[in-house]
Parts: sequence; structure tokens; C-alpha cells
Amino acid sequence: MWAWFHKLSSPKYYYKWSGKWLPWLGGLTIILSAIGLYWGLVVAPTDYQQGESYRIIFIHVPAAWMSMFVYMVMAGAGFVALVWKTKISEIVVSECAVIGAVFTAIALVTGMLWGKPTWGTYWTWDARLTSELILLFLYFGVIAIYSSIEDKRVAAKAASMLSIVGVINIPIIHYSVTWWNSLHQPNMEIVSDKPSMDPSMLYPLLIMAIAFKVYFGWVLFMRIRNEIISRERATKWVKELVTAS
Amino acid sequence: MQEFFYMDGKWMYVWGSYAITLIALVLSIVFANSRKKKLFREIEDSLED
Repeated sequence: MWAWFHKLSSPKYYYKWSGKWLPWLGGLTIILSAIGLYWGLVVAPTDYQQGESYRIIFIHVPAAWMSMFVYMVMAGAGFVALVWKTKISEIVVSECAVIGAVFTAIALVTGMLWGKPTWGTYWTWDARLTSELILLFLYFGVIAIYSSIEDKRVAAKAASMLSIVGVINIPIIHYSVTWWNSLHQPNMEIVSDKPSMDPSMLYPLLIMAIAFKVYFGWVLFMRIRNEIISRERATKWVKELVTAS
Repeated sequence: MQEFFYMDGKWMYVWGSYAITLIALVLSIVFANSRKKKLFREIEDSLED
């Protein structure tokens, strides 16, 4: 197991290994999204309180979950980058920051579009919304640090440190609706005898959540592979790869 | 069908959310693909020089 992880930290091995997964991840993303969207938009019943506007949940909640999940992956990679100093983990930090920022922006924008018909306002300085906005700024911070330092190994070290420090914001986002009075609805009970959502709505939501996770793997692999090519462009194996393509 | 797209009068919010999400996710893939092509072209050019 450790030997395999060690092997995976080699850019050349990682490039070849991840290439095999790309078509599967892409295909699975499209299939799961199609099922989840059809179920959520067409089959799932109308909500008795919110009417049709609740259907934003099928993209808003998976995007919000991903915004936190990607941050944890980034911070985990940051820890590995600081301790074991592997090139791949450094690349994962920088690439996760961009993807995480996209998911966070989607969660914020779709939340605003859901907030207007539900709360009567696009934005309020509520604990959940504000902590999610801080998450977006943390991602911007990691991107800015990584882009502003020319030596990519030094840049990755600084970005990794910020990503680890920012982990403090994740439980704040999650528990914000419990710790403070909030306009935002409470956290959903999914793993429970009585889930807080009817299965006819919960299942498409979970399918969309899986689709977003697979999509993340797909884009992350593509971005990591690009960064590997960019960093290793002077090596023999990259030149051979380009010549052979 | 019209009722489905009308979304109880909330079509702007619902379809707006889906459109923004789709555009963002598809653009991420397109950018990654175009960066790969650009990198390969740059390396190919440098090999010819």
C-alpha cells in the first residue's frame, strides 16, 4: 500500500495512471448528472412550502458540500506537501484551490438565487453565508500566494500553510446554523432512522452529490496532468510523450 | 411542458441557477483541455527549434 503511494508520488507514474481514469470519470459524471437532474427536476414532487424553487437544492447543496470537501482534500495535500514534500501533493494544493473556488462560487450564487424567492433577499450577513464567503476568500488567498511566488516549490509551501490554517473555517461553516440564529435552514439529517428529507427528494440529491464528487476527480486529474506537463517539460519522458502524440 | 419550464413563476431563479452551474462546470473542463493543447503545442515548438 505505502509502496503504491510512494510510486504514485512520481509525476511520470501519476500521469500515466491518471490517464486511464479520465474517460471513466468523465462518462460517470455525465451519466450520474443525467439521472440526478432528471430525477430532481422531473420526477421529484413539488415542495409543499417552497413550491418549485426548492429544486435549486439539487445543485446548491452538492456544490456547498464540495466547497468544504475540496478544502479538506487541499489541506490534506498541503500537510503531505509540508511533511513529505512530494511534487504531486504540491500540485494537488494549487489545483484544488481553483476547483474549490468554483464550487464555492456556485454554492454562493445558487444560494443567492434560492434566497430571493425564499427569504425575500439575495444576501444577508448571516453566519452560514458569511463563513462560506470567507471560504471563497481563503481559496483566493491560496491561488494568489501560489501565483505570486515564482519558485513553485516555495509557493506550494506557503499555499499549503494557508490551506492548513484555513481548516478552522470548515467546522464554523458546518455548525454556523447551530451556533448562531440563522435564516439558513438547519443541517440535514441524512444518516438517521428518520431523514429530514423525503426519499423522493433525498435520492436525487445524493446522486447529484456523487456526480459532483466524480466531476471533481475528473477535473482534478486533468488539471494535475497539465501542471505535471508544465513543470516537467524539460524532461525526456515529456518530450517523448509530446512527440508520440 | 410549459408548466415545467415556468417553475411556478420561479423559472428565472431555478433555470438561472442551473445555467450558471452548467456554464461554470463546462468551462472548467474546456479550460483544462485547452491548456493541455497549448502546453503540447509549446513543447512541440520548442523541440522543432
